Amino acid sequence: MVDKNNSEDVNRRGFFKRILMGVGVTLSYGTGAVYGLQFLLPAKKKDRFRKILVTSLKDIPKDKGKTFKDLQGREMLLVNTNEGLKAISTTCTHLGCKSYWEPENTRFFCPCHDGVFDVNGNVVSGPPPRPLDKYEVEVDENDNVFVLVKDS
Amino acid sequence: MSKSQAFKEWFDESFPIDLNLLKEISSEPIPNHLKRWWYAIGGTPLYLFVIQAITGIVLTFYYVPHPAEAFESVVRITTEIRFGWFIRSVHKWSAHLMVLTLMLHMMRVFFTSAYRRPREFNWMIGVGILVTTLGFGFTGYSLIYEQISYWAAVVGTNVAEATPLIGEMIARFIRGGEEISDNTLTRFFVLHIGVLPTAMVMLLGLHVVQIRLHGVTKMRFEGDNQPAVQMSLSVSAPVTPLSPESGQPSTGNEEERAKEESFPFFPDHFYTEVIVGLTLTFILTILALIYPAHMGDPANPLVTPEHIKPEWFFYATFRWLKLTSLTVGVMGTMVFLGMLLFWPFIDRIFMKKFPGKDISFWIGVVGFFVFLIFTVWEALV
Repeated sequence: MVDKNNSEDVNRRGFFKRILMGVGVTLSYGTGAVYGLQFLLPAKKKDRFRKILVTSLKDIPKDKGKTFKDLQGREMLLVNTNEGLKAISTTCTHLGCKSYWEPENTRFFCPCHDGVFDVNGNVVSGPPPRPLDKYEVEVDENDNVFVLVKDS
Repeated sequence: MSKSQAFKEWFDESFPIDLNLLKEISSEPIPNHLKRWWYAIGGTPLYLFVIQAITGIVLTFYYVPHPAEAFESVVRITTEIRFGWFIRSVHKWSAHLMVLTLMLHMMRVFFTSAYRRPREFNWMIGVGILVTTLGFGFTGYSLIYEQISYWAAVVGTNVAEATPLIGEMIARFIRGGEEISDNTLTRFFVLHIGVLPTAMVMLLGLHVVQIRLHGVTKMRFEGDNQPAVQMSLSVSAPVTPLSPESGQPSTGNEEERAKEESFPFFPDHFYTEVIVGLTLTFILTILALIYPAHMGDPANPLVTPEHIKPEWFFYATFRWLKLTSLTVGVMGTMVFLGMLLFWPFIDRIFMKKFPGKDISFWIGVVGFFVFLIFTVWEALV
């Protein structure tokens, strides 16, 4: 006959064995999984900006805009509105396609999902969730226009 | 002992396989309704997947997964490598047919309610196979690195990014960074030839094992001798899955009846699958000859083409994204996928709340027509 106390001891020992084994396995493989995930997920980089000379103030037609390219070669539109100068990105805020500036219609049109923005980059129609991104514009004493664009 | 006897002994010792067991496994009783072609469609995606694997491995011998060379390497496969155009065309067409036959198979399973208990999990594995196949499609046409490839990757990863909570992380994982970059193509390549095939083989294995364990769903058709359990979920003929809990009264000589109602998998159904396979090979060859895969313009990250569309199986989603706001568009797609995945359980709730009302059938009909209308709408504009 098995001694009652003895059998309890064995069970207790078995229980702790399982707990320790479980904790050990979870911690070791868990750590591996976390490191594995970090390996696969590239770290976030902070955006850096660079000031580039774009044009002269007198070369921007009123309410028509002038296109220029950022450091990655992406097109942007510089417009001289009543609210002042604005540099508007042409990357659609819906799903990232390039929208086109149509000077004849004074609007941006994105061919992917038919998003339309006005000259200020505000959404006119279609699915885009927010206005087009804008970049800071500076004008120096000689009327040179600079835009702060994302560095690559 | 003769040489052949000695060899047999050595063989039996080295491979201790019970031949009777092998015979039993391969002669699974298949219900008679599988003699109707419509019900034998489930095997076609599997056959097409094998073709995909073979042509895919062969294509990998020449494909270069780098943004600077990917497009050129596909051009080389299409124009210079002997039979390259043919292999690539068969790979492309079998992909299209795989998506199509998967959808048809799922519709057959849906409209005959074959996903009901005890086969709920096999339906879910099936949805997993569909999602994996669409993943193959998405990563596959991105690898060509033509305009549609690049912009599909941009749109696709941005859709993923708009998913609440985990979207940003998923997008960063697929892109290999904040934006589409050199890393992205490498990742798509790894997903396309490594991760997804592994997932697919596992899912297909589970799917087939589940079918073997449960047996093929038995059904009753109008005009059968046996009294049918009434169920009006029907496409062309009302059918009834006869699961153990369907309450079909026992007739006493079950074994004999089961024999009459079924035929062995091997060789009978195997021959059916061989015929299906040969027909598919024929169709693929004809498609590859008449409509070979061609090349679009090389990817240009600075110019979105004025007329841009994904492959046909994403038309419905593409149209949906045009009609709704981004949040509704993405959430709608997620809800649709979630409903598809858990349909057997949602169906059970409907059955309990509205007994005998065929709600599932009508939701299926509406769902199918919405998908069809969105797809055709997008194709026409």
